[in-house]
Amino acid sequence: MGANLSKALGSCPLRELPPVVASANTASGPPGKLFQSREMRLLMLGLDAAGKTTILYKLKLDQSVTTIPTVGFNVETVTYKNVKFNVWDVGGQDKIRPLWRHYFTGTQGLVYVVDSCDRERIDEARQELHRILSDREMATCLLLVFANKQDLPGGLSKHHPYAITELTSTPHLAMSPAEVTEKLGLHRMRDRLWYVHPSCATTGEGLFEGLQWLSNTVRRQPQK
Amino acid sequence: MSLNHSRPHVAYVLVADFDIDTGSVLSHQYPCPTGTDEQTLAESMLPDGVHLTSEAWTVFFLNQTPDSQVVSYGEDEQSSGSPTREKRKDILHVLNLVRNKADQGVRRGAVVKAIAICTHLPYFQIFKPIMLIALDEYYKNPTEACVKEFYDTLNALDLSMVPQLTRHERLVMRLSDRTDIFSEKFSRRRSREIPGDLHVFDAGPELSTALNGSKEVVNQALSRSQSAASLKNHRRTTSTASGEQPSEASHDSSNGVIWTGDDSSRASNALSGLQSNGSFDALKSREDLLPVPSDSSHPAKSRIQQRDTHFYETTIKYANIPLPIKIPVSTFPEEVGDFSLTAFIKYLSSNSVTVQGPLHPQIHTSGRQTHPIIVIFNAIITQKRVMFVSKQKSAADVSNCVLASCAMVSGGGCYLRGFVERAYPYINLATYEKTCEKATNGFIAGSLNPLFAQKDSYWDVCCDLDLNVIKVRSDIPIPAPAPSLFPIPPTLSNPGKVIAQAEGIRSTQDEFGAMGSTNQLPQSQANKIDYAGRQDAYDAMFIEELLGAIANHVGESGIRARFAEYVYRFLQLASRYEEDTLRLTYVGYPCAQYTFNNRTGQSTLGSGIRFADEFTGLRELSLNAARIEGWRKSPSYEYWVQDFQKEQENNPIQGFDLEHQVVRLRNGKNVPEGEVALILETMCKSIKNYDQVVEMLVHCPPQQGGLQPIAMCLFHQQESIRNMAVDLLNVIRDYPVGFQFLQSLNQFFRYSYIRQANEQQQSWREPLPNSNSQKTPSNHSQVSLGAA
Repeated sequence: MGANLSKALGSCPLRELPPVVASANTASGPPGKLFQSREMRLLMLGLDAAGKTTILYKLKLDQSVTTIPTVGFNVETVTYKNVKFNVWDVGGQDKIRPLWRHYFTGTQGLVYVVDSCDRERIDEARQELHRILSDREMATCLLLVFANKQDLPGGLSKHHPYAITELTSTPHLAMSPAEVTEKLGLHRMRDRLWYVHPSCATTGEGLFEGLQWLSNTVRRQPQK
Repeated sequence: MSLNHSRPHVAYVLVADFDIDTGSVLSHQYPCPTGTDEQTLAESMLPDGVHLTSEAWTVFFLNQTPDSQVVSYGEDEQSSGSPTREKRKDILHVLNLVRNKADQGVRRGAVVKAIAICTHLPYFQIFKPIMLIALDEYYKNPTEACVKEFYDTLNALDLSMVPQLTRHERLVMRLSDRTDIFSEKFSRRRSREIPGDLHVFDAGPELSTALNGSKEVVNQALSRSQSAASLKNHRRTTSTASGEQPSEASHDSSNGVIWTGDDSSRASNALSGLQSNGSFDALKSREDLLPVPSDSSHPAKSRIQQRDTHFYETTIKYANIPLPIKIPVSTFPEEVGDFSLTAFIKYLSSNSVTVQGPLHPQIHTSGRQTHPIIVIFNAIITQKRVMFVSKQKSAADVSNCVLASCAMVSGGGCYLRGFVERAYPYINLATYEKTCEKATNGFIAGSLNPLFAQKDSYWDVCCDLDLNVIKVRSDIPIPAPAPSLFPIPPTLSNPGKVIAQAEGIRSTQDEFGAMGSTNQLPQSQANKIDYAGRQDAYDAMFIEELLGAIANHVGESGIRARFAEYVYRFLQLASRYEEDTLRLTYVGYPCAQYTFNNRTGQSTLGSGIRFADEFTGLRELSLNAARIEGWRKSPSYEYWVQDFQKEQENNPIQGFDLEHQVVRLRNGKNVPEGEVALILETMCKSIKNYDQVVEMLVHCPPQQGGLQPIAMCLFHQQESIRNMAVDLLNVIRDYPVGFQFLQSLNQFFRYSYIRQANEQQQSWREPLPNSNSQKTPSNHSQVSLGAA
């Protein structure tokens, strides 16, 4: 399952995605009605300051809003191509991460947002991701990773906001989707559908493509 | 709710920050750590979604669960009490203000801080203005010194002058709309205070400049303090003008002064509506007869005006700003905060609110017709897990729903308790785990996280304030009344009676039978149909009346009073139910009717609930059986058993069910003469002193005609009954509050009372044998014909 998808990885897949899929499926036979306005429950998680809230409001309002740290959560419904995405964006500070599990039940897709520039904490991001996915409630859910902040030069960490981190990491570009895939250890994930997509929350680049993948894939999944 | 002067009003001040790297952090606890989990406190203080609003109030409680027990009040705190005080497990109310200030100078553009006070006072809303300022100060100066100053200011507030009312006095005050009720309780205190507190108002004008963060409150404060200042000036001028010449002052009624102690002024007041020289003289002479009330104070002092005696007004000075504080005098511990029960009822009865989910015998007491208000009432009283959830509304809104529903079920705070202790006015996921999840007795909680509404494993009944839906969980266990302990009531199992009622309403026995057999087949179709069609006529009538009252703009206290009546009736029903099932009741007076034994000539008063007819009564009981059973298993039942016991032991009026008697006089049809006589005789015997009069007045709420039931007896055809009514009213009249009640009778009653009192007095003067003894009833006496 994961095989054909991983093909799309690495190279920037913005234009290479299959075109809109909805028409083919909705036209075919009786289940058509079911697809007319489907709903999908998404949970958006990630370390603090990864850009979750910015993504949510870019999707919802098509505006780049200046966000402040989320206390608790945000929830919005985003409609895209006939699919209603019910997106939960939960604050990412480490003390509130244990609460993430409350949001797991009924989640069809996990949107995991990674700050591609934050090399320091990519390992922390990996650990959190694996912890989430090991939960029983998340066994069947799809995983979409946004390798966010592709527009920023790499090496900026949130602990040294405006200075380039020293020695170990010379100034270079943000981590590529492939690198993020690698660092998150996604290749070892056998029985899950996953997809990594580069994104830029402030411009909105890559966001809808991610949703597209989710809506296409969820319908191919066997119904529970 | 006695104020305990040895312990501080505010036990702790807490400050929390939202750290953009680590989340919610508790930054200060003053004077010492509370001993509860800091993370939980911080999570409670920074509500979900505060990043979307600029300011929010939340309420939560401490000392509720073993986890939330606070430690002693700190050793470094001089005013704190003895070690025994530390053992107290009173609920500690936490009022929290959180603010989200945009600040481009900091990383991620905003600073979120919260300040909270932990207090035993249920009316913590009085501290809201000062908290707004304190948080501003803390933003400017985030140090412990700032927190300390705030704490010290709060605890410097002197509440020793707040009148301490007894339970009955409170009940009377709550039911009265008069702004001068129990003003004598204030006059003595206020008079002492005049010279000292004028200076604080000098700071008035600087208010507006001192603050810009919280304009609303400041404006409010400003206008209040100005009006307070003008009031005080007025007071000063009047008190100097009248000086020590009380007689002059007390006749000046232009500014609405009421007469609390001075008898001559009372007389003119009582007469003000009569305009009759004859009766004026009559009353004048009557005055000699009346003893001057013991607490009659100096008229000049009693003139000192309290704008509304339902509140004690004072000021607190913080950051050089005097802030007015209005302390409610007549609230009960189950009334926490400044919720509006009226708004809550209005919301629940708006057309858009629907109830979803399967029927449950304890919750849907009128089947599908059960009104949302009753659904919530039943769910809470049978200790279900009830949740109010909203994403769009503010934390204060959900908190208020929780607090209002607690007050609603406790009977406006008057009767039942045990709800606040399992109320969680604001919870989020973090605190849910630590509190509600462990609650075994059900809970009442409010949250801003719609996740709670989506999963029914969190609650039994969930009120979604955004979708206007009340959801009932599908698999709430249906508890069975243990058949051995609660057999079908003997009266119900009497076949003759039931068959006599015939088919139409398929017999109460069936309904009770259904209750009994619910345990075997909780989901069976038959049962569902059985209670889907039922309807509790009393509940329906109550709701109709309640909504009518709201439509007629009856005030908040009136609405709470309606619930007090409703809960009182529920208790009476429960008591009757216990009698029927257990042959013994712990929660009310046993049901009895007035009896007169022809042979011995002895008669006994009735007591307990009285139905229009036995059959409707049994039907109502059977409809209520399930929720009464549910309530009997809750802590609130245990509390009431204790409270009722205590009340019976300590009430000033002892030995009979006073409410029953007043209701008989007020509503009874064809009440036997003997019963009226016995009621009045018993009342005259047992109502002699102030406390007894006050208790009597509790049962004569102005909304139901006040003293009218007694005054009606002034027109009874038996002279002895008329005389007893006069005697009783004489006693009541001796006290300022009783006098006010008499004043509110209509002119006809008052005139008649004065005339008869006068006559009686004259007949005493010409020493007639014994005017109080049994005389032959006469329809033709001058008095009963009304010829003066």
